[in-house]
Amino acid sequence: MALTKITSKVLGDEFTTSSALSGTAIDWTASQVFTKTLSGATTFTYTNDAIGMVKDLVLTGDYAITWPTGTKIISGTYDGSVANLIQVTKTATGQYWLSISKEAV
Amino acid sequence: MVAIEKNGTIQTFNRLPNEWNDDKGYHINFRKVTNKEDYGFYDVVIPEYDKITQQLSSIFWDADNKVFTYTVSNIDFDATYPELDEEGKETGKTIPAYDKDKLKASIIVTVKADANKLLAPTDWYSSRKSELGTAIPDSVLADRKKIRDKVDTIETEVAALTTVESILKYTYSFAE
Repeated sequence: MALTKITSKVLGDEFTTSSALSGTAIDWTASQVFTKTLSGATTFTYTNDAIGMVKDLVLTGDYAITWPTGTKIISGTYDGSVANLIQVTKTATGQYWLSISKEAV
Repeated sequence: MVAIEKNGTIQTFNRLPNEWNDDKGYHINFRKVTNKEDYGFYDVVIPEYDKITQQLSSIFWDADNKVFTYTVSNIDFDATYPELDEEGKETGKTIPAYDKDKLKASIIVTVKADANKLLAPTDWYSSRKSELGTAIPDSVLADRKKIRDKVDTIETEVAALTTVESILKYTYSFAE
């Protein structure tokens, strides 16, 4: 039978999985969600990112974080004392819009 | 306080900004960096100086000590500036930048205002006496006299000041 609707069942790992990030290079095709507990100042890099893609990162750890050049923070402030949900959208070549949120207590 | 030089302009901050954008990327939680110098941030050293008689220069980079700092210079209290007429042309006369008589008068105005505030709570005794003839208690009279005497003393002291520095540094108190 012909596939007439896209369902989550046919989506690949890059849209449906969460993985712990061991290094600092984020492969945008590896997972939808990346988690990491920082242990020091961290500089993230991207690979396989494409315009329109959105990735989620759950980060903890009270350290400075450096995002690639071209990043714009559109909302939120990183709080090193809790887990932070960071969503990154690639809006154009070399441009990333980033929002930071955390659990409402 | 920290500062950074960008495009020839020195920007100061009370502490590291929490977010910072430079050619290395966009940094968040930036206050947690332990190597601020790697990003161009250095401490600001403010030298000790007499805030009345001295002034600080513009901030500058001290390469030898790797800090941003200032030099201290004495204020020229004898400085003058040319007097201008109504059309903005110089009249040939000069006016002192610090007018001793005006500075002294300013102190006296403040002293008298302070004295009036201290006298105000007992002014009603004076009104009552003038309207009803009721005597003002001796203790009240004595307190009010003390305030007025203090004003006289201050006026005498201020009149005796001869230098701009001594006028600017003059302080007084009505407290015993």
